[in-house]
Formats: sequence, structure tokens, C-alpha cells
Amino acid sequence: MAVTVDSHHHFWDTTRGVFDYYWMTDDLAAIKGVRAPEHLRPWLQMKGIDRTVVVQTIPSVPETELFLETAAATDFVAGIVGWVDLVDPAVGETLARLQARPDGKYLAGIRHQVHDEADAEWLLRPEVQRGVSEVGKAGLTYDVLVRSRELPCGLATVQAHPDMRFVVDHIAKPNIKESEIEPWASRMRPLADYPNVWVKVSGMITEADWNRWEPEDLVPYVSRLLEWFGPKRLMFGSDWPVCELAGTYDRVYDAAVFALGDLGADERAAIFGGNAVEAYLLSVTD
Amino acid sequence: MPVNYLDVVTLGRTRLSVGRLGFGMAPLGGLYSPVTDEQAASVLAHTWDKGIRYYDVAPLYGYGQAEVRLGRMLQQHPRDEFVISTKVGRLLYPLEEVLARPELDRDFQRLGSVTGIGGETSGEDLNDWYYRGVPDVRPVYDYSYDAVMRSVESSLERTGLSGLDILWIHDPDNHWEQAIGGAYPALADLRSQGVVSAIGAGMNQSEMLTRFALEGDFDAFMLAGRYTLLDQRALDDLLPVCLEKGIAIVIAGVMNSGLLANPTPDSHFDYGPASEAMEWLDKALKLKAVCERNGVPLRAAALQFVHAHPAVATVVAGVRTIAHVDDTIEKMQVEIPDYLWDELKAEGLLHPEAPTPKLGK
Repeated sequence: MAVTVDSHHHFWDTTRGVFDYYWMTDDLAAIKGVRAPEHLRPWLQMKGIDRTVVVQTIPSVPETELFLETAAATDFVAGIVGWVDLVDPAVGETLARLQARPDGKYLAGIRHQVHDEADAEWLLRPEVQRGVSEVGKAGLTYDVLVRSRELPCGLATVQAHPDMRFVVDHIAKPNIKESEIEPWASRMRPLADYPNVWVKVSGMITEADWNRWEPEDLVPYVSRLLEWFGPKRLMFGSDWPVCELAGTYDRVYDAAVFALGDLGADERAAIFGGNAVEAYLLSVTD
Repeated sequence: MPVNYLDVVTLGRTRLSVGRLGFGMAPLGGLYSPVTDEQAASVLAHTWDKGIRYYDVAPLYGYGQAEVRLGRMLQQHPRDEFVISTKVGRLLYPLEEVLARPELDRDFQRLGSVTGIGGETSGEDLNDWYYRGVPDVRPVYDYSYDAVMRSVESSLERTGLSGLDILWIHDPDNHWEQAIGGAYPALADLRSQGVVSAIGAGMNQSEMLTRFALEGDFDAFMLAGRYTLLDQRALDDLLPVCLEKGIAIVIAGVMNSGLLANPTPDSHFDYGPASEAMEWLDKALKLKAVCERNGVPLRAAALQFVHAHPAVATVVAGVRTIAHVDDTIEKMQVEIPDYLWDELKAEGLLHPEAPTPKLGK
């Protein structure tokens, strides 16, 4: 059977004070604590998911190094999306050093929390664009974490690097709670014209009303994405444990299945596995 | 984050969706004391009004009476708006026939010959200990292929529904061979014919359910009393196998027959008096003490604890009054501080490996 992949989740330990999870404000208290592979494993088993991609949570190379160690030590982790300082002139060397580690093969992509930058056009700064090219030169995928505000810069970035692979995280976080379609739709739609762009069907329930969302709330977004990008360029991601703010792993998974609607077996296998393998060049044979 | 009882999840790898809180029909069948049709109807109407859409019943409950009562309520609603499970393994025979035919595999325990609780019952006493105010029929064990088919027919007749969703092999503790060789193939046929969407077994033990999980192709199991705040034995055998195979668990007996609802020597444990199981009563009292000194009702901890396990899809609550329905819903929403779970583990009252709601479910 085809390999199944959860293309987006995290691990953390907020109890030890090693890292500063700056974005974990008091209203996110419910997800503080330890979230380790043994906590995720039973959910993956229940849903029949074979492999995962761990994604950075803070701008920290040490966190990326820790995730590489976690990947090497955890059978189900197929790759990680880490962080490097894109504006650092030496970013190329940093990437080379990470890739040269014994566990460096697990580095699949790089992400920066672009939507947390004050400057809506941060991504287009020349030094950032240079950093993005270095990610491409290292053979890695770049994860575009933006909202509607930064989407135009995301599009420009994709246009500027036609030979790179890009994955838009969390469908670019439309405000589902307020039923935002515009400007999200008209800014997202043009990305579909670039075959080097994939979209993660993830992170949606935390953009909806945490306590009252229903799978139906996701349909207006997911159905559009299916129409624009087709089933070969979408990938399921749980965004666990962030998802726990609004729903358990099983509900996130069920909601994605529901919102995607009737799919052929091949299409389903692609969205729940094959596309992530392609976008991140994951090694899933062992 | 407390579990919202209205949250809906897929039952394992089936096409069925169930809410986090289901309703169990044993009490409304007349378990321990009689229930009138009117009482049952008003409680059932209330559960529906509260948004409960998963109902579990069995021919055993009130000897058919619970299926009739549940069917009467569900018939008023579109078939695709609810999920119903019932059980196989006991056929209902006219009382005279049961008494006249000693070769029948009578459900003796439930004919009052075992415990004589309350001094009302004896070997052939017609006053049954478990179910009261029941019709003149009695359950007879039969896990054969044909009996299962007949049982399903009878359940359809009693409920008056056009179809059933889940079938459990009920209490086959002393009938393993017939259950795996007769009942299981019958249920598998009914599933492949599309008559039902999910099959499993419902028991008060985890060992035999584990055996079913390993030897058959089951979608879900109903586990009564063996994965609760009081007793986590299933964590060592059944639950790991269910995770591996994606088999969902429906938790029943979440209060261990009421022992966790209100632990006293008069409460029941495993459908018998708790005084016969002093160590369990003792543990329940300790659980209660830890919960109460943290300001958490024991029932809230009991209901929310089981939901933290990823294999657990839903909990069926078997209660007998509207007030108890409301109390169950309320207790599912109580905010429980994380440190309660740490403290219960530190005191050795919870299995060290048990997932707790601290991890967000």
C-alpha cells in the first residue's frame, strides 16, 4: 500500500525552558507542556499514518538540530522543516553544516515565520530572497508561512525561484472564523499557476472558531484549493499539537477527509502521502 | 481542553460517525429496578434534545424491552441522523419454555440463581435480579451462525427500524469457540452484505476482546469497566492492539457500575455489590479523595479520563433519569486542572502509561 504522510506537525517541551516559544501566549496554555513522539504515535496508528514531517516552531538553529536528532531516533519521522537565518550572509554555510551532520539527510525544508514579521514585505527584502535561493541551492524545499497580508510576496517569491519547490503552509491561514474568502481567494489562486507550489491542507481548525467549528466550515476553502491546484498538489497535515486548541488529532483528520469530499483512491493516496513525498523528496522506503 | 460531548468522530476505519457521548440503554430496560415506558420515553426524548445521536442497546436489556423503547423514539427521526448498536448472543425465549427445557443454555446469572441479592430471588424465581418489570421472556445463550441471524431479525422487529449500524457479540466469556466460529462469520457476512457498517464484541473483559482483535477482522469493540479511572487493565493488552489495527473502542461501564459515580459499600461494581470487592471500593474512595481535594468531581474525572486515549471514540453512558443525563453532560465539560492527572499517577492510582486529558482531548 502507498505510504501515508502527515506533512505538518510539531514537537516541543515548554517545561524545561530550553527554548523560548515566543508565540505560545497565555491563551494557548492548553497546548503547553511536553509533546513528544510517544504522544503522537497512537494517533498515527489509529489513523494508519506511516510517516510524518516535523516543522520548526521557533527561529532557532538549535531547535532544528534537535529535530534532526529526533528524526533519526523516531521511526515515523521522515523529514523535518527547520529554520535558518535567511538574512545571514553565511546561511549557505549553515545549511551545508546541517546537511553534513550524520542526521542531516532528514533536513527536507526550511521555514521562517514570515507572518510574524512586522514588515508585510519582509519576504521580498533582497537579503531574504538571497537566503531563499540558498535554500534552493541546498536542494531543500521552502515552506511559505503567510497570511493573506503576505500572500502577494509569497507569489513574487515563487515567481522569482522557478526551480525551487515551495509548500504553502496552512492554506495561507484565511480567517475561517469570519468566513474570509477575499482577499484570500484572489491572492491564493495565482499560486496555482506555478507547478513548483504545493499547499498544505492543515492548520485550518485553529483559524476557525475553536469551540464551534464544524467540518463544513472548511469546505469553501478546500473545495477551491482542489479546483485550483488539483489533487496532486495538496497534502494533508495535522498541525498537531497546535490543533489541540480546537480539536483532537482524529477530528482534524476526519475534517480534512470530509472537506476534500469524494476522491478517487489515487487522489486520496496522493493527498495523504504521495504529494508530501514528492514536495519534500522524502525517503520512505525503509 | 475538556471534550465537547457533541464533537463527532469517525468510528475507527468505518464510515460511521459518533458523538463523544453515546447513550446506553441497560438502565432504561429496567436494570436493578423497573422503568415504565413513559419514564423511558421522556429520558430518551431528552437525550435527543441534548444532541446525543449514538445509542447502544441489546436484546438482554429488559429482555427486549429496551430495544422496543429505543425504537419507538428513534422511529421519529430520519434514519441517517443517528447511529444504533445492538448485540447478538442471547435469544429471547418465552419464560415457560425456558423453564421447561433444561437443555437450553440459560443465562442463569440473570435468572437470579447465583446471588440471591435482597433475598428476593432463588433458583427458579421469576423475579429476575438484574432486570425488573420485564416481559415474560428470558435470555438463552446462542452464538451460532443461525441464532445470530435470528437475533438480528428480532432486533429489527423490536426496534421497528429499517437497519442497524453496529453489532456486538455480547458477553461470549464462556462461549469463545461458538462466538469466533459462528457469531463472527455471521456478523462478517452481515457487514459484507452492507446490512451493518461495523462489527465487534462487547464484554466486561479485555483478554477475550484482545483475542478477537488478533484472530478476526473487527471494526470496534465495546469495553465495559476495564478501561476506566478505576481499572486500566485494558492498557496492557487490548488497547495497544486496537491502536495498531485502527480498531475503535466504545467505552461502557465508565463508572464501573456506579462505583465511581458515588463510591459507597452499597454501590455496585461489575454489576455486583461493591462490598464484595473491597479493594476496588477502597481505590474508588482514594480516587474520590484526590479529586475532591483538587476541586474536581470524581464523575468528571472518570468521564474525561477515558477520552484521552486515542483508541477511544466514544463513551456510552447508561443512566436512568433526565437529571443524570444532564449531570453527565455537565461533568464532561468541567475544566480539570492538569495537575490532577499528575497527582493521581504520583499516588499510584492511575496506570503510569495511561494517556491523560492533559495532552489535549
